[in-house]
Amino acid sequence: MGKILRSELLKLRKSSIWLLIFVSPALSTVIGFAESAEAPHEWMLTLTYMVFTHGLLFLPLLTGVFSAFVCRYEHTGGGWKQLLAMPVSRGKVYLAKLMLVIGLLLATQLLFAGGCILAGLAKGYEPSIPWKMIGTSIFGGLVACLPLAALQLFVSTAWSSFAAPLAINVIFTLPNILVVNSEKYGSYYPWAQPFLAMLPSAESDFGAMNVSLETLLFVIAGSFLLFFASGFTYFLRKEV
Amino acid sequence: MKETIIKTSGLSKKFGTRYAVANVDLHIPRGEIYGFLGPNGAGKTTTIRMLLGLAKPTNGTIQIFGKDLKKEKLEVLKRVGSLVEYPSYYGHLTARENLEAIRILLDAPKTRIDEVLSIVRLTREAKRPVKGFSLGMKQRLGIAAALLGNPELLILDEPTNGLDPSGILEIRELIKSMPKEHGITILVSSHLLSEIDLMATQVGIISKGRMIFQDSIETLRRRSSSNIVIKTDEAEEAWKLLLSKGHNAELEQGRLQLSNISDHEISKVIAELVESRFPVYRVQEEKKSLEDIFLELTGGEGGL
Repeated sequence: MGKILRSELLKLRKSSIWLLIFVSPALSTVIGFAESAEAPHEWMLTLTYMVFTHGLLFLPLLTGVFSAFVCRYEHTGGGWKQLLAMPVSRGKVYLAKLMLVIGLLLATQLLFAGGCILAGLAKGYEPSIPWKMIGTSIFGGLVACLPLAALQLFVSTAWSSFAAPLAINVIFTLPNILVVNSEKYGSYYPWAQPFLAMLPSAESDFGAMNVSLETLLFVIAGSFLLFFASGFTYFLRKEV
Repeated sequence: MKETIIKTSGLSKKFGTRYAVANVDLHIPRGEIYGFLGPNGAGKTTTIRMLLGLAKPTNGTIQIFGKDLKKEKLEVLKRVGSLVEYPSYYGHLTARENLEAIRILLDAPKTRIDEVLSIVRLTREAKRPVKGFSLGMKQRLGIAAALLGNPELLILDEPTNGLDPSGILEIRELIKSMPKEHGITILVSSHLLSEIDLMATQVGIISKGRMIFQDSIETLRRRSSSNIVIKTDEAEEAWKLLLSKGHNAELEQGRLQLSNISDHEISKVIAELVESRFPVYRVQEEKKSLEDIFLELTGGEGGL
């Protein structure tokens, strides 16, 4: 497994896609600066403003871009047949690709957190940084992205086109703007979960997460298992 | 009897209702260069993809190094180097980085990269991104990648595709030298008979998914027996005369044809023709080329 990851990292590092991890955090930070927030909830308000563009649009979209990209250089150069004719297990290759996507998302989230803290400190908020709130937000967002990553990786391995998986992702992500406003459907829509999970709340419903245990289990874990299992079994049988 | 490296029995692959590969029994002994020959679309690449575990056979079994490919795929693939169809590469990486990405997976020593680069003569281009490479250079990089793990079995699908004449010669010499120097067994596919003729020791000919010939190249050459063709007037009369004298002659396009005939018998035939006052215009030997045999075997279809 370590060998496959090292090889994948080499391929990824030399491509320019990882630069995309800066885009959304940078944009969100600018928004964080621009919007005015007042005590006593100034941290929470700034985080909320920042989460709007990031969690609602960019994070789900980036999940698709990253997934499509870790497959793209295999599709274009005929890499799959070379890679899968090596003494490596297909399952591990698939897991390594998923881990790359998660790694890129994690980097994005950490930069986002950094941007939030930067904005807060620059605007002179009370010196004690709300680590727990920010941490809960970014890691919750990461977990909520897992089902999307699994689905997008499935679609990206299946189709050699780069644009098609992205189109699917955009089609499902855009309705977010409407869906999150719906009390009824919002919590069941997988693409809305990153936003819902990242949105800080004053009275935390459930321990470490901004979403209820119910949605966490049923929507996030359920859809992750479904998408991952389908993608994984598909990849094991895929004819290259 | 030499050890068998690849053995398939009843290997078949169905796409929809059509069999791309039907009942193929490959048999490749150690140290041979096996030329896998067939027209485009005959099933060569499909067979090779199954040998590498990239596609699953619909029917039949594959044994490589005496191991069942289905059960011990990774063990087998550790000892196999391959190049399938067009070369695989990561365009955004340099030649060296491409090989490094593979080397990590194979656990080969770092020095091996320089070795294979110099074998395919890419040492000077090693630091350039591969997307700027010509097809021939990509092909050579693909061969370098196949050699990286010091394989015992090399599977090369159309390795000379896209190479210029000097590149073809280089690769051919390389392929020919490997069994001698390193005891490697090689399966090399091509749709060009002349290519296979120049390097293979064993030949398998596949057409429309079926194996129609599998033996040593000598056996194939031996089938290129020669005919003696005699041109004369009133060929039909002359033919009847020869038949009445007990010669095994054939009449074809107004010419007499005698196959597998000794020098002694041919002199008798000519004497008899002359004695009966048939004018003998021309006596010539016609050798069937490998090309003819190939066309005969494949039923005339397929571009060579």
